Amino acid sequence: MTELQQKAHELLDKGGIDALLAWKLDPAIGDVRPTLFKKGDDTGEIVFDERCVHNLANYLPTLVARYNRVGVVLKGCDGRSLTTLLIEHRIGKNSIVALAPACEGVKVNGARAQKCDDCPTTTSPVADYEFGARRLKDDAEFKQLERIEKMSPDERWQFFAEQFEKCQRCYACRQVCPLCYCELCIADQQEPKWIEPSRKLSANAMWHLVRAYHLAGRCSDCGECSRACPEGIPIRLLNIAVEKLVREQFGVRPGTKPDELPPLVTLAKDDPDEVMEEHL
Amino acid sequence: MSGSWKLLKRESLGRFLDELTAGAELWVPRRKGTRWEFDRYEPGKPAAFPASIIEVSAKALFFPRRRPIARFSPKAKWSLEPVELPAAPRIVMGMHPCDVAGVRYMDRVFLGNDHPDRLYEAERNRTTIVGMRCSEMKPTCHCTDRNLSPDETQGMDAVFAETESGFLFRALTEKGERLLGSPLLEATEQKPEAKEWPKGRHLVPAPDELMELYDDDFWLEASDICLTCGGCTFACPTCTCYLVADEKFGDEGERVTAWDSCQFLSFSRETSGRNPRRTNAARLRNRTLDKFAYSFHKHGMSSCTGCGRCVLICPIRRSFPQLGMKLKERAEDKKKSKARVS
Repeated sequence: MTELQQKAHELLDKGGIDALLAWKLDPAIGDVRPTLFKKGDDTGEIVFDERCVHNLANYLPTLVARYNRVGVVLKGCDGRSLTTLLIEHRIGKNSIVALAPACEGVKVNGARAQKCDDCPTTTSPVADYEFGARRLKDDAEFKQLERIEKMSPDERWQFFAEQFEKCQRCYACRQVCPLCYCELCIADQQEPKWIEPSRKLSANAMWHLVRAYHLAGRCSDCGECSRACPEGIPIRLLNIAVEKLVREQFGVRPGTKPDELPPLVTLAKDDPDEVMEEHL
Repeated sequence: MSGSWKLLKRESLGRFLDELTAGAELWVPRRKGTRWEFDRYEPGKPAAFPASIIEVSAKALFFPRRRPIARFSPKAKWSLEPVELPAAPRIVMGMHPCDVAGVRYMDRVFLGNDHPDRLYEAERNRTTIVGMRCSEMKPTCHCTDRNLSPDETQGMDAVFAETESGFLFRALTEKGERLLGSPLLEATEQKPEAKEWPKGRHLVPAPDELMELYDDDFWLEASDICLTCGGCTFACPTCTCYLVADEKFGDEGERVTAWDSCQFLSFSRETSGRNPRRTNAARLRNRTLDKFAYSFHKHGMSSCTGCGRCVLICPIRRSFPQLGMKLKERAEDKKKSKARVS
């Protein structure tokens, strides 16, 4: 048994937690899947490797409502999502026990995920138990943006219009995102109907741009939106474009520090913007 | 009716397809990125037919994602003008049995009642389905568990199979017969190779047994990791729920139908604000029971064709056959405990 599996067993067995969310291999499909372990389950089946792409923080708000205390295995990016969920009072730390193994990066469709190159915290910032050495890297290059930044505004629109055109509006990007948690999503709102429900470019573009704005300064760059998209729309590009701006303007990488409020929902007296001076 | 097999030599494929385009729109499988989907055939652009599952079902050809049903404008006092029904002949070539089974199910949903869907009917009437026998089953394929097989021809107008030397075609209806008159197709003694397919397993409990599990804890447990995105419903060849919306652009407007999904929270929200399917568990139960129980009760056939598209598209690789197996265990347990009591 690995240290991680051992600790998971101990926590479930000795009653520290009521359920533990981790990954397990399903031999029938030859892939791992998020799985909830309970007392008595074989924690030796817990897998932690490059196949563990799913962001488990996404499940926590629902799970803590059902179980008293939930253990969870988190990669660095999942941990950043959890940090923001804690900061935004979506869940309380007391209901979570975080197991944080050092992540070597994950693979999507057989290749190293692009987000892993820009990862600032390879181990979860929220960690009750750490496994392996913590490494920090603060200089994300967001290389995937270079191609977009070189484009003229018209070319950019062309590029994204082609991508948005494909959107089926299945909302997998929203459902897979731990920080897209509105009780009533703007896309589901009937009156006023901000975003038309049918699949056409204007409404699709509206949906993706609104989502990118709502995540500004909060997105932990777990890349799940891009991975989950059945149509292969590179949704993450929108989010990192915004995150790059946020980093330049406010020096913030969302979710890396437990006491740092998301910059765009914070009213700071020392905000350099002149508009703010007028109002304070 | 069904005619005899005819051989189309591999090198004649392009010419045969070009011939077909003379009288109709021709749709063939096309690889886009990592997936296969149906696309308009372009003369001169080589066509290929995958041995198994075309990831993007042909559903949208018969029941588009966004479908204008009427137009309105202030000039016409906002009165609704129904759209013209499509009538141009069309051939869809290379649909596999699980996809065709989806069309057979949609026929029951849209046409098997007193208020047939005229647009769907028009799409069906203008289309000739040239189906294709699968030559392999992918790990996610389980049509044999769903009363189908890779050789099934029901619902097709003609069928073909790929062989070493080319393609073997056979007409199944008059519509199909009309397509196969080309001199490029030669009489032959050859028949497609008969393959042994896995025996069908009864993975899912019978509809009535399933309904007994309606209030079981199973749904709560099974929905723990479900994201309730609409991926599976949109990929499914038999998910046909839609919403109706009026969309206005400047002075013109359209009434459209658009694919909806029972996995969405908003799907079952009532005018009063009440929502009978608020939880993930209730929504997962609805979809599972719709595939394996309600469909039997409403339309006399299961709406799961065993294509596995839901598994392929699921962001957490959820396997519906596996859900079925677990339900089976649960149903057996229930039977045993009942037997003990009585």
